[in-house]
Amino acid sequence: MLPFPVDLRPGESPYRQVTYAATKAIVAGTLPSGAPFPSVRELSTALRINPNTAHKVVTELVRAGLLEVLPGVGTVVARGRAASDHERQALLARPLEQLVVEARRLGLPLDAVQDALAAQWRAIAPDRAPSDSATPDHAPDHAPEATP
Amino acid sequence: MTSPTAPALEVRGLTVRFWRTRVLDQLSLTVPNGALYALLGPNGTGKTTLLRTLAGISPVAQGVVSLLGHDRVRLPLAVQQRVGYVAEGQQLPEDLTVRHLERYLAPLYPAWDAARSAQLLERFGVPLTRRLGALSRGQRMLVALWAALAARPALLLMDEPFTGIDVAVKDRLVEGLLEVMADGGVSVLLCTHDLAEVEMLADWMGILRDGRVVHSAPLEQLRAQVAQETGQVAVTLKALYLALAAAPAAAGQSEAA
Repeated sequence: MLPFPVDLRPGESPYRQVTYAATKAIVAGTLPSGAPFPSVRELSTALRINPNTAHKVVTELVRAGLLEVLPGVGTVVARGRAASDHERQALLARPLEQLVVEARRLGLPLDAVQDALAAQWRAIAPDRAPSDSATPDHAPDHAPEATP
Repeated sequence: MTSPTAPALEVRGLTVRFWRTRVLDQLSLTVPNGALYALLGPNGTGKTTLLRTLAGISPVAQGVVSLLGHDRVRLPLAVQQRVGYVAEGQQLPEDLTVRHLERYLAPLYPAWDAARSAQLLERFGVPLTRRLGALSRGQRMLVALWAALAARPALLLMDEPFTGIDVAVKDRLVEGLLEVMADGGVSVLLCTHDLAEVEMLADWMGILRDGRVVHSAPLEQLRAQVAQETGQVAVTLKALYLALAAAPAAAGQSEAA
């Protein structure tokens, strides 16, 4: 039993899927810092993936600074780190890619997709909608266009 | 004994004829060290002929076959003992039990691993004291894989191991194989047409077509290539296989080129 959920689907490389699932669990705090991370063997047999793939996943997560290897202990979630906005944003890359591919296949222009996204945002988080869209005339202050 | 720098398996220009028909035609194939290479292709394309030739059951008539860095034709016994072979419907000594078979095999294989043997037998759950001839098809496949893996092969050749066995047995087969692969030091050539089963297992693949191996590459690379060509985000192994099986083998993709 793995300490984080992985729903492996056919069609995408297991390497990308497992790396994504583990990153999500770490960034979202499901796997807290210092928590033991499964070994290559455990990942491989629990998910029924090639051990080479499991090894690549662990190597990538260590490289990304999400895991650290403690000699004599094993691999644990890196301690003393907080997920950055950038890391949280990076988790959206995959669903965003799928959204863009689908939208382009359907022949939808960018603004139609943006409108649909905004509508969905309001539908799911209605209480936050007013503050998010209260000042549509002003560019958000972190946008590069805002620089005079 | 085995060369660590050589690929686990290298085949160059292998041609096998049955009467006038060329079953394998200048076939070339490389299985990198540590890879699980899935060789896909419909029945009757020569997968079994290839594996029997690699295993030494059929002779190499024309071409070069190199196993663990050694020529198949003059293969030292010590290297032969590190090559495992598991095939659908494999012959097993009908009157022996698993216990008998272990007593017979262990002294023949210097690398025989008693601890691994016990561990696999427990995982596989096959009856240890019943005649092999009385076991089900799935149980016999588990026995064949157990025997091959307990001898600590550096190269394992598998010919349609999933054919005609139920899902629970398939799961045990795959888990036993992964367990051993996680120990490292084994490369696998898996011939199959069971695409769903190899989707998560393989890291390399190739397609056997017209007696040759085409589109031989890391699975992720082929997946990315077909995803880009078709504009799909997800490319299942079935979709990948159908796209590649229909596509002409571009220059450089066929190893025979």
